[in-house]
Amino acid sequence: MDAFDYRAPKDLSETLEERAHWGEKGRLLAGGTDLILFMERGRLRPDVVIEVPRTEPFTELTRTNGMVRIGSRVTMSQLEHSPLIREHLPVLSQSAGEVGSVQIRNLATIGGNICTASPAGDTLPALLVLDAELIVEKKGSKRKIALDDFFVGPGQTVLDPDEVLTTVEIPLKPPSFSSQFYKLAVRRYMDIAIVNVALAVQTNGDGAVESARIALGSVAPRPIRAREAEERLVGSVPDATLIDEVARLAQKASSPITDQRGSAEYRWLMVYRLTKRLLTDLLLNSTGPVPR
Amino acid sequence: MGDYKVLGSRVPRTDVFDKVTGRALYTADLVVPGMIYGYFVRSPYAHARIKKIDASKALKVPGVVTVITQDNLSRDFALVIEEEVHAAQQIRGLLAQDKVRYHGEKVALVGAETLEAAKEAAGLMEVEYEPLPAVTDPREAVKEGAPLIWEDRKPVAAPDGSLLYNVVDEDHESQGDVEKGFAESDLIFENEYLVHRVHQTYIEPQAAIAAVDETGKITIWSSSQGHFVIRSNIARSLGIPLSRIRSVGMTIGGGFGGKFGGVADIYAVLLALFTKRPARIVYTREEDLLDARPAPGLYVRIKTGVKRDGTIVARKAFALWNVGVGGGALWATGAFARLYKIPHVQWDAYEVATNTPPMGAYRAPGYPQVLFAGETQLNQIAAELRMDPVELRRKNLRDEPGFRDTLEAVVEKAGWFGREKKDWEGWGIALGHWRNASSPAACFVSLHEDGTAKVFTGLMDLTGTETAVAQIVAETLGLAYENVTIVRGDTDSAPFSPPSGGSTVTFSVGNAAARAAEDLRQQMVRLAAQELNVSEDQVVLADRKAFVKDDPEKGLSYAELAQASLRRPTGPLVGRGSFGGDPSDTNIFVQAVKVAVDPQTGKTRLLRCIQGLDVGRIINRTQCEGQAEGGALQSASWALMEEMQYDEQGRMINPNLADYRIPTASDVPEMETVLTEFPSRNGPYGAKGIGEPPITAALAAVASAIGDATGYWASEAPVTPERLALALAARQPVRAE
Repeated sequence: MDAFDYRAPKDLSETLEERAHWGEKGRLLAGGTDLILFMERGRLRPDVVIEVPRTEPFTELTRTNGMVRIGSRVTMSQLEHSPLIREHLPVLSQSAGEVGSVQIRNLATIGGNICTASPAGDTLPALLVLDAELIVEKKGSKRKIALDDFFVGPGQTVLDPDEVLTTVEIPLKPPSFSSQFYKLAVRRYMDIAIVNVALAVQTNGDGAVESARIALGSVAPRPIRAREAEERLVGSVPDATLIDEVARLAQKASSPITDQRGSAEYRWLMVYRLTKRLLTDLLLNSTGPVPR
Repeated sequence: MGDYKVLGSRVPRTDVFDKVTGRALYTADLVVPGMIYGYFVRSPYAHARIKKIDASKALKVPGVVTVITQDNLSRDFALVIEEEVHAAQQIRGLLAQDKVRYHGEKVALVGAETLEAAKEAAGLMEVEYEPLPAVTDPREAVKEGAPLIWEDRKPVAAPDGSLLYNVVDEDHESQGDVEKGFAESDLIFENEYLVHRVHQTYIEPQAAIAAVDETGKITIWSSSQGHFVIRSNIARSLGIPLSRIRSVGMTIGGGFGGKFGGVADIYAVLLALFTKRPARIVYTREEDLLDARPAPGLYVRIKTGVKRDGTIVARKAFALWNVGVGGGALWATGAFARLYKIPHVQWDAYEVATNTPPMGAYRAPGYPQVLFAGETQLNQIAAELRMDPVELRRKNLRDEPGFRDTLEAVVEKAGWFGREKKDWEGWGIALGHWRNASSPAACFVSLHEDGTAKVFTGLMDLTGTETAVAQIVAETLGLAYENVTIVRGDTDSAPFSPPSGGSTVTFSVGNAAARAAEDLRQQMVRLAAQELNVSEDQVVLADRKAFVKDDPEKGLSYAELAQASLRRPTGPLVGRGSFGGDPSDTNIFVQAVKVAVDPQTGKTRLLRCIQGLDVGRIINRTQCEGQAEGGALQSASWALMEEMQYDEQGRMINPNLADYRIPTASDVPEMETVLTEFPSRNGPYGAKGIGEPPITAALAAVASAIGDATGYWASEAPVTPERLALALAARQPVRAE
C-alpha cells in the first residue's frame, strides 16, 4: 500500500472542510472493508484518507416524520439487529445480514456499501425497492438524490469529490407492503453475489398489486430496477401466468456478463427463476422468507 | 486395547496455549536486525517470450538494495524441489529467462529496505514480452497444434496410436489381461471425469527469512513441512554443503503438501547471499494462489467391465494429469483399482504440461482426483444394475484387515439401509484409502531430575503430531502426558526427521520415539535395580515410580531415580531411538453423505457427513476425529466449490479467497465420525498414519449423492451451482418450477 495522510475530522463541518480541501486527492473512510482492500491492491491510491466521524448525523438511526433516517456510518450489524429496521424494513435487515462475515458486518457501513457502488453490493437492491433517498452535503449546500439516480457504473456514482453522503432516508411502509430478498452465492457467508434479487409489492384488499419494485444486483454495470416488469405487475391480481411474464421482463432488464463468479447464461437464467420464485412466494404462497 | 493410560485419551494439544494466546511464532513474526524485504516481479502472461528485462529504473528507487534476474545468476543454479511424498524431483531455473510459462511466474526478485520500496521497484521493472498462445486444459494441451510448453519435447504415442503433445512423463501398468476381462464381462461402462486444479489453501501463506553470517553459514527460518528437506533443497539448488545450512522450522499455519520448499526459501537465501543482509520473503495470498505448488488436475477415462451380479471383472484407465510446469503425479493413478478384487487392471497415465504453476503434493497426492472418478463410476454402475452401492462394494472389496468392518461401521452409523430422503435429496457413499509413508527418523528422550521427560526431535508439527509423540512416550515410560515435553530442534540440533507429509510422522517419528522411550525405560529399570538392591525383573515402572514387584511399598520416584543417575558412573538417563522405515498397512476410509439440491439454482447443501476411518490404534481420539472430519470437509469442498479458474489467455481469474472458495463453518453440517482400530504391523502401538485417507472419498460421495438426488451424474468437479443448474436445465424442464 502506498503511504497516505490520515485525517480524523471531529464532526460534519470539519468533514466537509477536509473534503473540500482535498477533493480528488482524498477518499472517505468509513468501515474501510472495501477501501483498504482497494488501496492494498493499488486500485485506489489516495494521498489522504479522511475518516468519517462517529458522530451525528453519520451515526443516526431514527424514525421521524414517516421516515427512517440512517446515518451513513451505521454498520451492517446495526442494520441486521436494530429492532427499528427489523420491524419496519425487514428486507434491509435481511440483506445487511448477508454481507460478508460477522467481523466484516461489524465494520462495514451502509454509506460504504452505497458509495463503493459495486454492482454486487448486497444492500443496494433492498434499498432500491425501499425507495431510499440519499442526503448529500458539501460545504455550503445540501442535496437529495434518489438512490436509483446515484449509480453510474461499477464503482462510479454522481457524488462530487467535495461531497459527503450523510444520511439515507427511507419512507415508512404501510402494512400492505411486503418484500423479499435473495442472495445467490456459492457459500452461505463470506461470498460475493452471483445474482441478488429484491422485491417489494403493495396489494389492495382485492389482492391487486398497487405498487411493485423489482431490483437486481450483479447482472448489470450497476444495481438496477426492472421497471417494465414492475409496471406489468401493477393493477393486476397476480397469478402464475402473470408472474412468469413478469419474471421474463425482469430477465429482459438485465444485461449480465461472464466473470469468475458466473456465466452470463447462468445469471440470465437465475434472474428469471429467482424473480419468479420470490414473486410466487410473496404473492401466491406467503410462506415467509425464502430459505437459502 | 483397554489397558493404556495415555493412549486413546483426549488430552489437549501441546501447542494449544501458544496458538490460542497468539504467542506462537510464525515466520512472518520474526524480525531479524538489518533485514531487507524481497518482492517478486511476476509474469502477467501465462505464456510469453521475454525479449528484454531492464532493471535500471527499479534500481533507482530509494531503498532498493538489489534486483536479481536469471542473467545475474550463475548458470549452475538449478531449482531442485525434493518432495519425499512423491519421491519426485522437479528441476527448473530459479527465475524465468527466455520464456514465461504461467501467469505469476517469477521473473525477477527485488530486495529493498522496506516492502513498499521493493513493491515500487518491482512495478518499475521493464520487462518486454512477446505473448504466446496459452493452454491450461490437459485435453487441449495434448492435441496437435497446441502451444508447446517445453519446445524441445517430442510427442508420445497413445495406446490408440495417436500422438500426444506436451507429455512430460508417462506410466503404463497392467495386471491380468484387461481385454480378455472385458470380453468376459456382461456389461461395460466407460465414463470420463475431470478434476480442475485446486490449491491447498493453508491459512498461512508461504514465508521464509534467511541470514548469512561472516563465516558463510546460512540460517533459514521458514514455514515448512520439514526443515530437513528445506536444508537439502537449498544445498542441492545452490551447491552449498549441508553443514553450512541451519534450517529452522517455525510454527506452521498449515501445509497440506504445499510446503516442501522451493517457493520462498531458496529465494530468501539467494537474496541474503547477494546482499550479505538478512532477507525476508512473505507471500501475499494472491502470490500464493498464482505461484505455489497446487494439486495437479486430472482428466481420466475409466472403462469397467462387470458381471450382471456386480462382480467387477476388468478396469482400465486413461489418465492425463495436468501438472502445470512441474511433475510427479503419475504414481497415484492406480488408486482406482486398489481396494477391490479385480482380475484384470490396466492404466495408461501421462503427465501433461500446461501453462499453469508447477504441481505439488496435496494431502493424499492424486488420490482424491483418481477416486472421484473410480468411486463415482462404481456408483453409476450400481445405479444401472439397480444394486445398492454398498452391496456392490461388499461383493468386490478385498479381504484386508479393517476394510469390511469400517464399511459396515459407517453403514450402521448412517443408517444406510433405512435411509430416507425427500424430493431433491440424495445419498452417496464412497471408499478411499492410503498407506502411510514410512521414513527414517530418530529422536532422544531424557529423564530430568524432577521426574519429567523431554523428547528431542526434528519433527514439524502440522496436525498435532507432537501431541501424539508425547502420548507415546508417556505411555511407554509410565508418565503422565503433562510430564512429557517435546523440544523441536533445528537441523543443527535435532537428529534426522522426515518432512511431515504422506501421514508419516506419528508412524515414523512415533516409532523412533517409542524406541527411544523403551531404551530409556530399560536404563531406568537397571538403575532402579541397583538403587533398590533387587534384580531387574523385580522392578516395575508405573505412575512416575519405580517399585519392587513383590514389595510395592519399596520404590523410588522418577525424580529420585533421575537424581540418582547423576551420582552413578553411567551418568544421566538418555534414551535413543532410530527407525529405518519398515512399511505400514493400508487404511480404508469410508464416506457417506446426504445432500439437498435446489434444482432451480443448482445449490447443493450438505445435510449429513458420516465418515469412518481405520486408524490402526487411537493415540488421541480428538485428533483422530479431527483428521477424519477435516479431510472429509476438504474433499467435500473440492466436490462443491474449489477450482483454480483460468481465462482464455491462461490468466488465473480467481487468485483470492473471495473467489477461490473454501467452506466456512456455516456450510458444514455436524460431522459424524466412527473410528476403527486394525493395527498396523509396524506402527507404534499399531498406529497408522491418518492424515491422508480422509480426503480421498468425499468427492465421489458428494457427486454420487447429487446423482441420487437429481439423476444427473457429474463428470466434472467441482459441481458448482452453475454447472449443476445448467446441466439440469439442459436435460429436462425442472420439476416444481
